[in-house]
Amino acid sequence: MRHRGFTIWETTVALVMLAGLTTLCLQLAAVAADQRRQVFAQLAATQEAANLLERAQSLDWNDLASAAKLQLSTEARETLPESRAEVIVNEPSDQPPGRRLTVAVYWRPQPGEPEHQVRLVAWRYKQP
Amino acid sequence: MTPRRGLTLIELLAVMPALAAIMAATGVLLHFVLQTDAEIRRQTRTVTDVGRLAEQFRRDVHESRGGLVVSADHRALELRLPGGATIAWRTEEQGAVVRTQRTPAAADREDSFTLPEGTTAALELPSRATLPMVAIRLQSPGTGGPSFLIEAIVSRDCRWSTAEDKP
Repeated sequence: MRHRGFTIWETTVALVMLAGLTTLCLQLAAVAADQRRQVFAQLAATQEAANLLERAQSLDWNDLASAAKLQLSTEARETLPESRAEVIVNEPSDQPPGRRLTVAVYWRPQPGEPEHQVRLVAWRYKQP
Repeated sequence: MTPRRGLTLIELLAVMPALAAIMAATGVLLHFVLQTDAEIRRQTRTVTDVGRLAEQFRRDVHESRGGLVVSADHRALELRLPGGATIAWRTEEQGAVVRTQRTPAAADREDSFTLPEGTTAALELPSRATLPMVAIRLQSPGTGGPSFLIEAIVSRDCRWSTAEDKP
């Protein structure tokens, strides 16, 4: 029997392959865009944590406890979705009197996803 | 009727556009992959450059012994270091921040930090800090790039210095 044109199966297989390739391409684009956002968010969070640490370290020794009230800057709140900051002041050292400052910046890249965080630590000692 | 050999003209005509379509799709895919690769390289460079810029800027400002001058247009900053050296930071039109170190009896040293395309940099004196601070603001409107502040406490490293060392 003489074969003419394409069978329905050949066309279906070709279409499925084409659809698979297109989906792969679009997924790659979505992953690239997501990576870009995450890289910049990580960078912004690191710099914001460093800024908060600078501000905490600029406080007077007797006023260090108030570092816990430090808030994220407007820029960070705009750049990082669902973001918040946490500043913890510990007193693990008596001699010499020292305090450990921990700054953590949290943000949630997408609603429902787990929170990402950047955590920086610095020590501050009382002036002899 | 003789047995059929080879392809008919119609079959060839049908195959050629199909091949052309597949090649075009491959070309688009390849272009996209290369574009993604270039984008990832740019991001890596941005992260490295901004990280390097932040680290160097904070180190300079912490080490400084006063002499802090920020120009009125927020594009230049000068600091004095121990030993008579001076550091000048300036932002350039082409999206770069340049650091120049001038040390007596030594050659000047210049470093350049390239910013992501379209990003502008401005030097500021933040007001809400308890100690004098200076900051670089990086702004990239509309490009989806980073927009944030790099803040540093002036003369932080000499807080406990003796009176004559202090700025």
